Amino acid sequence: MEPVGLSSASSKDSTSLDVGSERNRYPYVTGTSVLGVKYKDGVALAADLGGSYGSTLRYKSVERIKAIGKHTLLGASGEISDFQEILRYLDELILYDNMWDDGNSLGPKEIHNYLNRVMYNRRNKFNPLWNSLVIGGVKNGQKYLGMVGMIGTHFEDNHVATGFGNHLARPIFRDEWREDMTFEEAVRLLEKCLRVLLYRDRSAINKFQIAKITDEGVTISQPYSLKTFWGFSAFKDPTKGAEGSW
Amino acid sequence: MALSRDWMYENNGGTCVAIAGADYCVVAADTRLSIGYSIYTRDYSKICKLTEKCVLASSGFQGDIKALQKNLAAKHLIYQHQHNKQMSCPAMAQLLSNTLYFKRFFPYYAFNVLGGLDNEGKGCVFTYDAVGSYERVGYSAQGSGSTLVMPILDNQLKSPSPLLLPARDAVTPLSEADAVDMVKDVFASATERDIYTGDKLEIVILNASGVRREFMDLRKD
Repeated sequence: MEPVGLSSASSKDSTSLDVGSERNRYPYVTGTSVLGVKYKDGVALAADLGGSYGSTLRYKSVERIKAIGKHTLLGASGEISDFQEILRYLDELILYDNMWDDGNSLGPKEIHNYLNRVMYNRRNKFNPLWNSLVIGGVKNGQKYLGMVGMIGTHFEDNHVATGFGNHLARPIFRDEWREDMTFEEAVRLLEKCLRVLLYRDRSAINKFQIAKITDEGVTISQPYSLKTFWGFSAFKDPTKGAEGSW
Repeated sequence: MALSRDWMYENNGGTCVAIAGADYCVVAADTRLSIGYSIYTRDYSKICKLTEKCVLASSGFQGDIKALQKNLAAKHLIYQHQHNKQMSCPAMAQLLSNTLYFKRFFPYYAFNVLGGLDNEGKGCVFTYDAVGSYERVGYSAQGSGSTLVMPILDNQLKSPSPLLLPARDAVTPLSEADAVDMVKDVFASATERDIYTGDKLEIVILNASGVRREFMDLRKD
């Protein structure tokens, strides 16, 4: 899933499938990892506010975590415009759900299933929504956290991460996640992983939001930064071991 | 990139096994969901109970597997409404074959093993490829660890050879408890050498008294 930026499409495989329809060949403006953990009272999601255009960090205030209905949080990585499209689909879904006015409301499991079907069906039409989605929520005391990929791969777990987070954050989660974490502990765990991603993921920026959802409702924090440390001696004097090098 | 057509599939790994006995059937699969060299989750079930007498285990691309299992469950529901009874296992076997072939030119990337009890109460196992070609056998393995598992089953199950004439029923003469132990052994071995197999083993046993589920831990590395 490499963003190609401004270079032109390859034409090696022109087939009749391509005639006339819109086709998502590669993503343009992308968001990087989204992290999610369950904790004692609910679910917490974290993501940075960056939108990259290939190797350029073009947008620095892209909110990639949104509340859906009363019970769900949705975080997305990948193509930002496709995320906005998904939000439009969900707006309509929630609207119809509210219009029933029957006291029932769509919970995170239903949203996850809906998005799973949408992603899979778009993949079947060769026109995917280029996103990896994290769905978290609480309904009637039941916590839920799941992920849906671009082609419809999906699962539910106590901690999830998309993109680079899968490689860098999941191992930390596997080691340190506990069932009965308080919100403060969950935030410390998320911040630890966000910091690792900041150091090691080229497309991460130092501006994050943490969102939490409990039975009481949704809170999405204001953007904030983490303290980082770059004062390693190897950075100060990189050529110490090799005189004449640069 | 969308034109190159290999972004549409991925292999989420896993191994599925089924063994048919004289009056039981054992269907088992591991619960690891992988992507490339990463693990998404250690606790995802690949087994779907389609009827009281018929259980499907699939490995391959999880998006397609979920869609396939939902598709079959929906068709079965309609069948029940129309015929006022559940589908038999051989009937479900044919339905699965047809459903897979229907997408012959954009396949479900799913490698299936269907296990259950036939109309006489004997165990039956059907094994499939991704486009619907199938065969009733006494035992089968599909998925990333299938090449590690099949030779052991061939050697240990004492089933009559499929090459014998007159044709004999391929079910294993082993008892249910022995077959379940065999499945546990075989998965423990597959886990050692197949990186996509591991974490936990889910075993579903069907017999005259109903459907029972067992779990066993496997290596997590």
